[in-house]
Amino acid sequence: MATLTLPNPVTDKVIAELEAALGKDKVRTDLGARIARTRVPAPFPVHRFAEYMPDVVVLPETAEEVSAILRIANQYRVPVVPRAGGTGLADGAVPLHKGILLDIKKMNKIIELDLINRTVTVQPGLNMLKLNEFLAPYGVFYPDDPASYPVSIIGGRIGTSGWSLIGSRYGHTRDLVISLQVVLPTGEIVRLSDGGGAPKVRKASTGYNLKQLFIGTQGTLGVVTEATLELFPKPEAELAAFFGYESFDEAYRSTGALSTSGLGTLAAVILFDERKVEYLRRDDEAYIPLPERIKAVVATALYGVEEEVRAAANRLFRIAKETGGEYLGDELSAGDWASRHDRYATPLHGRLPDGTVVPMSWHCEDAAIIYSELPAIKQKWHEITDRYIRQYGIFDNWGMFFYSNNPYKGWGDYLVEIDIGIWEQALNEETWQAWVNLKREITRATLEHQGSISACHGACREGDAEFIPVEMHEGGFELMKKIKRLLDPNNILNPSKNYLHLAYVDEEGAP
Amino acid sequence: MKQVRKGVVLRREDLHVFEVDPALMSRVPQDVTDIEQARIVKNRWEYLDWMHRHFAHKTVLLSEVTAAPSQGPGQAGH
Ligand SMILES: Cc1cc2nc3c(=O)[nH]c(=O)nc-3n(C[C@H](O)[C@H](O)[C@H](O)COP(=O)(O)OP(=O)(O)OC[C@H]3O[C@@H](n4cnc5c(N)ncnc54)[C@H](O)[C@@H]3O)c2cc1C
Repeated sequence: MATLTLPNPVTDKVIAELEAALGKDKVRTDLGARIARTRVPAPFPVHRFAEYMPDVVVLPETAEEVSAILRIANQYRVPVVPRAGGTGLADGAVPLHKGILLDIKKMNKIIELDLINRTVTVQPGLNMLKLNEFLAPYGVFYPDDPASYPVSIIGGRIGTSGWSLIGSRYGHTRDLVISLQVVLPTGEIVRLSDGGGAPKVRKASTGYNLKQLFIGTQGTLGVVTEATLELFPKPEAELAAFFGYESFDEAYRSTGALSTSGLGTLAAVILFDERKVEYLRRDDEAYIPLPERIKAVVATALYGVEEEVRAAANRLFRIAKETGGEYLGDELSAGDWASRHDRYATPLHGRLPDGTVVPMSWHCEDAAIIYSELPAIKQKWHEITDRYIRQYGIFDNWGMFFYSNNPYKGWGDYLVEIDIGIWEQALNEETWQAWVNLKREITRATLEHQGSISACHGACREGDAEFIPVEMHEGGFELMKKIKRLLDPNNILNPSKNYLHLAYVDEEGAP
Repeated sequence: MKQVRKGVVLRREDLHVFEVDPALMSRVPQDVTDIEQARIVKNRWEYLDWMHRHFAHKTVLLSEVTAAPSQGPGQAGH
């Protein structure tokens, strides 16, 4: 029979060693520090909160301190979970087996700004907003722009391999990281870049490209302690234009035409479906006055040198008009676009089936889907969600977005998102399981349509994680397990995430 | 307070503040004073202006560059 090796609990001895290595002020066992780092904003089984509370929180400031923590954890075989801003929507930073919570927020120093070679080297606990405030006087800009821009942190962006709103012009997190310093689960400190070890070289053919292996691992293979990042000139001009359509099909075709326009300054194309527009008309001030004939919306944004942006705007407007788009005005376009950099303002309320308002948490189910499959996915995801709403009455359908997902170009695949409200206060084990089953059905539909389970959040949560071996069935998951076992022999780093507990199942024939 | 569609009211015409119909808010009643509401709206606009400047030196509007109308459907004067 298969047995699973799980890490040990944290003992007083472990805490004493952590305090000796870091100093008492960087080791916290008080309830407040632990409760604050138990969950993330994604829906959570609040009725089982205590199961996920870490035993101890550590706040290192250097790679050497991170290394000391991992060595202690290895010696006693206790779990370590890295946590950055704690805004991840796939539970990457949630301690599934309690243990040591490694909070990187004190590692927030800017190490070097190199304006000649256009790089900035930072510790991972810095957030992008603060970094860009520092960079602004130099006329340069780090363009990683999630809708959690003011609160997510560089370490978490690398841990999730995040998606950026303006990534179709500037690339996403993985395209913006030039090199990394990583502490391996066994405590060694290594420097990884695009092949070779040169920290500022973007493209090399020397050795393996190990940098990418450590991006998007959800902290399961190593802890990032330093990153050298790409700098762009701060854009001279931005222009956002939102268009309304009388049907989803028309807006879908227009999305295809806009995203294949070849405009170099085009940073984003975002399609809103009928249910999203209906939701916004119900609960978002900017959209309430829109006439009923508008059934779908396409948002576009241009960034760059002013002359290029102005010229591209003409082409953009022409394409949108020729494909049935009606301009929604300057106020809505500019205002809504600015608010997209900070969707923490998403209303934390939803509706019961009778329209009554209750507090709800927001779930954003994401997947990467190719353009041809978007209409079918839309139909299936709504059917699934509506069925669960009818049956359980504690969920609310907030509609779907389709965002251009391809780095440096708008076509190809899309980050597809369905937003679902959940009345957490009404959760119990039965409704929580219903929620997980809803997620499972959505994931199955994604795989049936040649999609990938997640475009940006990761696939760590129940309802997603068990499908990683299905999506990576052609040997990929087997290789992942081997790599995990090789680098983390005692399964201490973010154990059980990405379904990687299977790497340690002791079965006949397994190494 | 004016009903603008099913479930939505226009609470402040001067500030364009729309709200969920209070009849649907019985489980989470809200009591925001007019002064507080004006402050929230003003701060929101300031925040969005800050965001524009943070991401680019200049915001260009489609109506400045093309024949697109500055006001969208649903806006007064459209
Ligand atoms: C309102 C809102 C909008 C969002 N919009 C977007 C969006 O547009 N695009 C997008 O990509 N995401 C978005 N997200 C999700 C989230 O912000 C991102 O996933 C972000 O990348 C996570 O960053 P964080 O700092 O909060 O990381 P956390 O949630 O703390 O951690 C994320 C993962 O990274 C690991 N990790 C953290 N630090 C390190 C480290 N130093 N080394 C190794 N692993 C590490 C953690 O263990 C965890 O697995 C949004 C979230 C919210 C709440």
